[in-house]
Amino acid sequence: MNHLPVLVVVIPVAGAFLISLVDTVRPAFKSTAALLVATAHSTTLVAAAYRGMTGPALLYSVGEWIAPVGISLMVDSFSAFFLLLLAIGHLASALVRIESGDRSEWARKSAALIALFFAALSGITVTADLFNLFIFVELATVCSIGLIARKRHPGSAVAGFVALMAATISGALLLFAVLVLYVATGTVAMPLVAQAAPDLPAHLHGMATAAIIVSFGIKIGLVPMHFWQPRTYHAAGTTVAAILSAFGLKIHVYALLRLLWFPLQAPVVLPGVYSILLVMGMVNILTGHSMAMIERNLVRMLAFSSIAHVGYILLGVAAAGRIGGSAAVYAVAAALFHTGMHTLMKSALFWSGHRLIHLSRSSRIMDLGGIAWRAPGSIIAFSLAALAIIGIPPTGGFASKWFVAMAQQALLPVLVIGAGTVISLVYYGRFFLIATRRDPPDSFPAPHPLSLRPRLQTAVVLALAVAAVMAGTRDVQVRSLLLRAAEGLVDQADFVGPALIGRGR
Amino acid sequence: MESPVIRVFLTRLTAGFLCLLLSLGFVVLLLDAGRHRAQTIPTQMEEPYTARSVAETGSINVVTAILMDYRAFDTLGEATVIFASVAVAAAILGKPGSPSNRTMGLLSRRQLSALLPLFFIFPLFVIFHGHLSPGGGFQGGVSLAVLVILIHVAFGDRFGEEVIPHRILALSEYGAAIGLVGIGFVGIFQGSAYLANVAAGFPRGTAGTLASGGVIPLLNLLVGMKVAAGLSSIYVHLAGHEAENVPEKRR
Amino acid sequence: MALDIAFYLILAAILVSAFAAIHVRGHLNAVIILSVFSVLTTVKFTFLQAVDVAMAEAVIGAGLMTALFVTAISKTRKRTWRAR
Repeated sequence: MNHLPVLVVVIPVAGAFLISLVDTVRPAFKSTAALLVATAHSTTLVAAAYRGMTGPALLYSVGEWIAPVGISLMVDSFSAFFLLLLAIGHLASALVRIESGDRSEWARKSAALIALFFAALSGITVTADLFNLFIFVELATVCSIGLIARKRHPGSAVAGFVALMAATISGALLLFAVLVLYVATGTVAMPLVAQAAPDLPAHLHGMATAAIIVSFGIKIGLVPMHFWQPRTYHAAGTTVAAILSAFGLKIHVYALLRLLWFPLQAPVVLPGVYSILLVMGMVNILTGHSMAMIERNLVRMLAFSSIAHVGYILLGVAAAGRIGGSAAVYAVAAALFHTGMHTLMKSALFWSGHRLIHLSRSSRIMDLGGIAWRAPGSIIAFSLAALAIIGIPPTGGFASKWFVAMAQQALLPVLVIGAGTVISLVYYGRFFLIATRRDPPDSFPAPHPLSLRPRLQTAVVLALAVAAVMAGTRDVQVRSLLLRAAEGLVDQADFVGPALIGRGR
Repeated sequence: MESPVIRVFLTRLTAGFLCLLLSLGFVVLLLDAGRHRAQTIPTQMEEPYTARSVAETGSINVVTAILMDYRAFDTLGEATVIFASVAVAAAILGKPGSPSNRTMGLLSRRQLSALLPLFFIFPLFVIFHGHLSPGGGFQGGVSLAVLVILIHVAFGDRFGEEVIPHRILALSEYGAAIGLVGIGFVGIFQGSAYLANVAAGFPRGTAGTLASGGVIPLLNLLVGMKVAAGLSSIYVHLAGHEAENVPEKRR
Repeated sequence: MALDIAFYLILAAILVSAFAAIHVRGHLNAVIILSVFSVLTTVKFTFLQAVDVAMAEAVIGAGLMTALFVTAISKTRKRTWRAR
């Protein structure tokens, strides 16, 4: 039996415990331990992703108890794509966050919390069990609350509380949906629920779907439910905001897609839901971009930009659900392309923004005037990522937006994408002009003494930004990877079959 | 003009009405779901557990068999959630600072010092007999944590810190957590799956005796240790939280 | 028959205590009523023969949560008194 599906969860969990142990016994080695754990986890993730991309779906029964009684995990090409994103995420965030001597309790716990957060995200990605999914969503929530609510940081307690309330509503709705599905079908294993889903009465199926969409809508910031995100990211600070937005948010998108396509069988049973998602996607793009344009704070601006880009992903998803059949693979691939691109671009933007904000000790855009001349590496990375996220032609961001637009069947979504691009050109351009002002104020305040390693950070950020730009020019390789991943979501036959073997047991 | 009293009353009425509506809808939906299941599939999930769990796991408590064997991965996840919330509490509240030395009255303390050893019997019984009688590592662990809190409340935080230092709590939590994850690997090394019990060669024993259920008693013990240490260290962080960093309200 | 009546009485008492916990004045009172709610829920679970869950509800709801809530209230109480 191939143990990779369970190892991607268990290794970072054990790693988080080890980091805490090391921190208590030998505090000096904590950063090393965190880096080691991140490396081990990323290696496992890459191995699992490779296996999921190349072979048939990988199924795992924890404790050798097969589906109806036990918990099964699975890695197929669709989850492999997100495992790849997580591998980038854990390693990069460990590299960026190597600290120099912050001994506050928050700094001590945050390394373990980040390892646990990525463990939870991996768990969400590999699990094929509804209740297990709920537990990992809760674990991710608890970890993110800890990362948001730092002590002695203005507004962070309130932001943490708001995030906790939002997460509580979201968790309750998810639990409600799982409960309805369990009572109606008698199982929580996704393949078996998928088999029973077409026979469910319409109102049960509809309520479960609605609860799941609202629950994950809160997590990913669908527009009426996005209220907590900008405040939270602002309070969390840029390094954590990058982790929450670039990686946490994407995995919740993954969970939403997986639940809609697989256990709920929404494209067959409830295709109307995709029209709602289409409208929500357009609303997200317009709201996110216009709020980002009037925003005066860099972190909040980036947060609203994240909300807008969830809209692009949703447009691709909605197109896929509305077309159905084999054409849906292209639309899902477009959505996945934008997901991957946004992960690279937004993490590069947040982390290079970290350096700028750190130098000027303020995240207000007006206070960042002329900051570019003090951190050239960061501003180069920021500009590259900004070019990509606006969608200037040769970059990966352009390619992904182009594919999403190509997948649309109607004119209106394409127009919305175009309008969003123009608005984002305005606000990123404005920031660039302010940051490169020729007349920098004579004296910036002295930088905050607790510095992360600036060179290493700049290198990581540059690598991410360059990857985001280059992805647009490496069209062929990227496209074959994406199509393979999208097939995993749309054609589930290759893993529904083996999972059902356990049924006769 | 509405008076504020009426407005508050109306708000509460609306909120109460909405809550009632939501919970009614919830109940109706669940009843419907149950009816649907009864029509289509008679039983799919429960029967394997009740019919086979004793033979397959060696634990005569079906609930423990599910928690610690069939769905042990969920239990590992839940234990990790507790670990994470301890870390979150520590990150938000900061290092436990000046513990207060307020104690209960003399009579209570004398009485408690005679009774406390007896109090410890119950959680230990619940943990060690998790596979034989109701309860298990989680319930026993929480009871142990409550006892630690009782020591703190009755004899003062300083005494509590002397008897059970915070460092020991933290170390035993991490140790138990690592042990819990590590036991899962035994299954992998035995050629079975992660967290496998009988399939990994753990002896099933005679059902109904203390040494039965394979790895279940050990998992119960580790979960109990971890939960007890984790929850009581949340209390220690909370009790040692210095209130003065809360900004005073200016007059 | 008598057991049935007792069970429905307990269900009613659970509802009443839940309402009281929300509407009572003062945090401390609410917490204490919440622990009463937990105890009643424990009895309900025992009636339904879910002893494992009953035990968990008893130790967590009535024991641990009450202790944590009371501690948290005692940590914030000083400030509200002084502000008055």
